[in-house]
Amino acid sequence: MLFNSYIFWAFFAIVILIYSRARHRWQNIILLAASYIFYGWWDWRFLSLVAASTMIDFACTRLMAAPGATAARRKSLLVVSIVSNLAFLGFFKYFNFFAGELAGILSTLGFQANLPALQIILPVGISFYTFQTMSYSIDVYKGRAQPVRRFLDFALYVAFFPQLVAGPIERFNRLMPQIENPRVHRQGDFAEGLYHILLGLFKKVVIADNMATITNAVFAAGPGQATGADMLLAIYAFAFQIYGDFSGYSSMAQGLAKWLGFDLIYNFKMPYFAVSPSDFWTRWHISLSAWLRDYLYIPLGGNRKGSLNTYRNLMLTMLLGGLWHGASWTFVAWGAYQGAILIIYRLLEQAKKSTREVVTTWPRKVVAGVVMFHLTCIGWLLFRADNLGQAWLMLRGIATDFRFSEFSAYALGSIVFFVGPLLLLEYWIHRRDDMIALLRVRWQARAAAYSYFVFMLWFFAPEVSNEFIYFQF
Amino acid sequence: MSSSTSSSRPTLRQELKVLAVVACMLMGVELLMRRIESRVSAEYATISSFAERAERLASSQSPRILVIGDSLAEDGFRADVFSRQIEQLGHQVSVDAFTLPGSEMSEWYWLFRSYFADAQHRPDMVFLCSSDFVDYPTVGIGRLATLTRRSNHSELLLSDIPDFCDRAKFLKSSAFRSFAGRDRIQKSILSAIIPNYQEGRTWQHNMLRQASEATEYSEADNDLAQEQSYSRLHRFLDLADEHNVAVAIVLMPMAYKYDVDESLVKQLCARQVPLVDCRWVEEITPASFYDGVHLSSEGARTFSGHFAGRVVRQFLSDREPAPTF
Repeated sequence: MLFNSYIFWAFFAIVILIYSRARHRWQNIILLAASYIFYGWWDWRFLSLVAASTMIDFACTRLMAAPGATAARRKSLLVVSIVSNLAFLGFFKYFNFFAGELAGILSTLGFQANLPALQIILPVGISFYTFQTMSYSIDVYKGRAQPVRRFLDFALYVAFFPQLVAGPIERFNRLMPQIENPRVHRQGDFAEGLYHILLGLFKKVVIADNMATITNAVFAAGPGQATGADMLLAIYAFAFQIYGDFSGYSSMAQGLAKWLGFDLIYNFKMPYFAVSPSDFWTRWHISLSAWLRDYLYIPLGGNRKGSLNTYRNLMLTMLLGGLWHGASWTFVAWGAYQGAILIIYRLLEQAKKSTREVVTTWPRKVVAGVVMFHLTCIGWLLFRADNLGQAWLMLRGIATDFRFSEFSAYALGSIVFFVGPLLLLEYWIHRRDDMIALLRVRWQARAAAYSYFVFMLWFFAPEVSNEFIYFQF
Repeated sequence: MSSSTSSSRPTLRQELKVLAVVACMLMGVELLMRRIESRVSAEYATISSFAERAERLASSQSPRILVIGDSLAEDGFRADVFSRQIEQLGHQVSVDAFTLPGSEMSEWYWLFRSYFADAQHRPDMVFLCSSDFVDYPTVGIGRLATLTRRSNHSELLLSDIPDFCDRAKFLKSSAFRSFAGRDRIQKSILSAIIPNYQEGRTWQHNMLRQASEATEYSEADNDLAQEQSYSRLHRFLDLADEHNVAVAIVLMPMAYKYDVDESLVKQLCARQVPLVDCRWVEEITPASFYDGVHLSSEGARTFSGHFAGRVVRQFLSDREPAPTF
């Protein structure tokens, strides 16, 4: 049940109709039931995973808070919680990858390994809700959060359908009070929800799905079929595809939650206007980068134990961030690449103050932004390629066979036509430094912008929609 | 960056005005589309002409031949050449071709049902012309909605469009012509704005097809490949039987050799439906096709003349009664 499908909107209409007539406690029950229906729609067997994760973390944290729980007992309960969550994740997401790699290594060493290859279906969004529940257990253990008393409330925190399958990864201290307390509807909630939903649909259906056709064609081309210019433009197209896809989903999640009376965090803040890798990670998949910072980078020591340790911590964090995306060497390489550019920029910053201080005038900002965008694109090449060999061949193709073909002209025209207006809007938002700047202009201007979104959605949605990229993570 | 904390947030009333403007914009586009769709879309103009052409064919006194098919028939069949050739062979027929590029069995069934499945309009003979008669999922939902404005939608939704989202799309296409014809509007806008639009799209399409074929071949299961379903063809034949209309299947020529599914031949044999195999016509060479698949105008002339001869021999002459394989 995708947010951009008719079936979802039929489902949501029924849910919100019942939900809006119910009292607070019943609202939570309705949302929980709706969330389980939503998740079970993919495969009802996945529900057992969400339920198991919920029960284990609820029980562990309740026992941690029980009177007389010793430090050792609390620690062992945390270990149980983390190990069980990582076991789910490891089995469903990484088992076949590591089994295959191990078999390869053993075979290279001359051993015949008959490791089982299981037909494992990856439950959608498992990485998102696993990280969300793990952060809760860690917060309770560290005393940063009080364990929740009502099981139903906690179950809703884990399974809240707008953000269940692709985030944002919400923190307990932010989302749980909203679940526990009666909803407060403020003036403008409907408008804000509508804005996020419409913008999200536009990003997903118009931007991401149209860019996907360009990307998929070039990445599917055989040797010699695409020129270097085609390849470069396909990587640009993928940069906007993945941005439209994921930020579109997050935006819709935010809008749906707003209509239900919840505030979700902004997961994206114009990432392609970033001027450095650290700036980029404060704008891209913010909930994951904040999670990695708080639960991995800082516990590893962060930047407190000297330069070398900082670089090691950055690299480890980004490598695990890469692996979080999927069991593939391309994701590991992408993580390593992100770690490397973070380290390089850090070294440069140390050499000439901070990048933010250096990048003050607008020409410098433009240059820094263009450089950062291209560095990000190299990362996207690793991320999108079927394997590292393909990524290398494409890089070589761009460097050695840069010819502008008929397809290049078409791809460039398509990128400008579809992405250009979005970038203009985002630049305007960026300049206003207000994520909902469009809600603060005259209603006629908003009507013009919405008319454009709807016109594009009506006429320029590709016949076949692509599934959300981040569902597989 | 600030978010939703400001008090300067729009009221519900303001937002309803915004939505009203968006609705007016869509209504305007819809009205405009209804006025100009025949002019902007050759395909819509073709579909709009079906009712009148069906009437014209029905009013003819001579045997009425209806040709239905996809782009192979659209480019390859010339009704004027066909009837002239038949006349030269001593017979008189009225013929019209109702063809739509990229159409398949589902659309042919509803086309026949919408325009010919009644006592006043039924033709004497229908030729279904294509290279493939397998059941495919209905893809051209907007076109199907345009084609079936006169038909019973509830039956169509139940039988041809099993998916909820496709049903919603179909109903939206039935209600809004701008939505039904959005691909044509999209194409005309993009081809006007984007350089090399057609060439780029063709290259893109070829790459994606190449990739999907590679996947299909790598996952190929010969047993499954042989078990093609022809339920929509049988439904067409049942409807034709119901109205006493003879049907023949015509395998259209292409520049390369292609096999005909054994199971199709068996099923047609069992129903005594003639198969007119025009895959290899002596006078048609690879040069007769402009793209390896579709006949050029010269090729179409050759094929139509040849096809007329086959029709006379197989169906109009007493010497060689149908069916022959």
